[in-house]
Amino acid sequence: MTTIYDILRRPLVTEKSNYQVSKLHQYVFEVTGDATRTMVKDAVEKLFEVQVLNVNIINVPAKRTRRARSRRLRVRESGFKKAIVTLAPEDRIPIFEGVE
Amino acid sequence: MNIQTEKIADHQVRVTVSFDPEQFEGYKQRAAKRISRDKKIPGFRPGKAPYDFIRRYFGDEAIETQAIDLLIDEEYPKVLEQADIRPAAPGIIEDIPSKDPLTLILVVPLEPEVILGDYHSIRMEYAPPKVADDDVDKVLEEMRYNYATAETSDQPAKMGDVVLAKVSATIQNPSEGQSAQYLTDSPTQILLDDADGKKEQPYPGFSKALIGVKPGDEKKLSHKFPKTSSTEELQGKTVDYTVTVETVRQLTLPELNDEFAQSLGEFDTIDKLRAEINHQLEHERTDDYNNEFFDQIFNAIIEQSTIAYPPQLLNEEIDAVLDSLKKNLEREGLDLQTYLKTRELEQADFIEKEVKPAAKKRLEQSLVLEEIARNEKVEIEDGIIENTYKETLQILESSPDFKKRGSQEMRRMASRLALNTANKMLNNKILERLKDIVTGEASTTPEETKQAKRSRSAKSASDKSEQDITKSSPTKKSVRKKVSQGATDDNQEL
Repeated sequence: MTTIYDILRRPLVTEKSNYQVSKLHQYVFEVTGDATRTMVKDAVEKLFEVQVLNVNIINVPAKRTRRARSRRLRVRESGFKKAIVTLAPEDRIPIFEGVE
Repeated sequence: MNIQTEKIADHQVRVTVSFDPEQFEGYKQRAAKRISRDKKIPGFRPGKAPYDFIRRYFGDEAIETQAIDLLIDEEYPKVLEQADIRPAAPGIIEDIPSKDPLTLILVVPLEPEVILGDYHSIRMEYAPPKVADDDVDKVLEEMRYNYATAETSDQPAKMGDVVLAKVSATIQNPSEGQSAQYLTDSPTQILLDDADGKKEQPYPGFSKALIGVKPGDEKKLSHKFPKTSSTEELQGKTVDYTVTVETVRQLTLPELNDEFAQSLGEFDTIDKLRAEINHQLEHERTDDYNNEFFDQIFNAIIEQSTIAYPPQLLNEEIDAVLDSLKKNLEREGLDLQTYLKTRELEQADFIEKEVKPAAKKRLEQSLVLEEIARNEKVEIEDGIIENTYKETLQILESSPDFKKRGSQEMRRMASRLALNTANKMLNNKILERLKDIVTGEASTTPEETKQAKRSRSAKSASDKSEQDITKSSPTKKSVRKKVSQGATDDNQEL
């Protein structure tokens, strides 16, 4: 049984997500595979005490990469589910913004 | 920017600089940019990570270190300019007492200061040694022996002959631990020669005793060596010699005539040979004399002058002396460690006792030389450096390994050579001038007709070297180029 405390795996901090935070007020998380929009919304609202306006969810496909040494193809990166959470304008999640 | 300076010992200066926080903040931003460009941060392209994120990822410490590096690179020259410091070598950061506001304590070695004494009052005789006919005769005589032909003869040995013999020597009353048998049947070649007698081996008068011997003869001799004998083991000993003569050879010395001169190759007549010998002797002796002469002058000037320089310069000079020593040793197929071992010296000891005084002298000489050049307004003409540069470049271009080394390096080599040549010329000029001064031939004031500016190229070279110093960050080691080097400098660059 997944609780809301298991839903959010980790925040995604990349150049793109950084842009989304600063320009679009959207925060990006990696979430468990069986998470739904509602579950993500509940989790974020509860954990960070913010108001969530909108949740988009994407299944990021697994990527196949090649090992440099042996030429065999192998799957190196498994896919994950990505949740893009839009917050109310007055809210923010500090872990995305530098040292806290 | 707030600067305080304080002179400390060793001709260095301690500078305390504090910077505005905004200024340091700017450098921190740039430092973060640089860090993110150099280091990989997952999720970001190089150089694209935001400042806060870099701070969280690498920590304040990393950013500040980088920021101070950057700041020193750019602000150090300004600090020196504002504090009116002319550095001789890169300074070092001694301490960072506070980071907010950023305060640095720098220690900067000052440019050497030379206050010349009244060197115009130094008077010295300049009298290069003359070469007398006697000296030439001596050389010729030696040459005759070198080119002599030897014939075995049955006649009793006479003066000027060579005796091949087996020599045994026994020491009477040998000291403890000394073997009585000094020589056993050692084959020896003895030239019966009545020359000064001093050089005679094993003792003066030895050959005289052998006059009249024939092959097969055995001669017993005994000699008491004086306490001052150069052979330590034989000092004050009486030695019995047994000489068994094997052959007597008559030496036929070539006549000193035109034929002899021609047999040596390049000379047509004996007079030309004499002239050449004369010339060479004179050259040698004048060189030796000049070295000693200028050495004396410099010693006198240095004694009069006040010379202050930071220890860094001395260290550089020590390195230079060591380097040239290493090069010389390499030519003989040795390395420094072996050399030290044969002399049974520790490297530290060797540097302290032998290299340091030599380096000190060289440094002081070159400093004094520079100062005198400035004082006397000695300069070399414009264009000479360019000409030398072009000429050298042409020679280098035609050399076979031009392509291998690449034109860039060749050009660098040529410019270095040209600079060296210019240095040498300048040196010679200064030395000439000095000679005039001490012999009292020069007017007491420097000639006003000469222009005050130094040669354009020499000047630009010195400017560049100054830039080098100020630009390089204080932790980096940059070697100070000397515009004029000491008279004793051997330029062995090529």
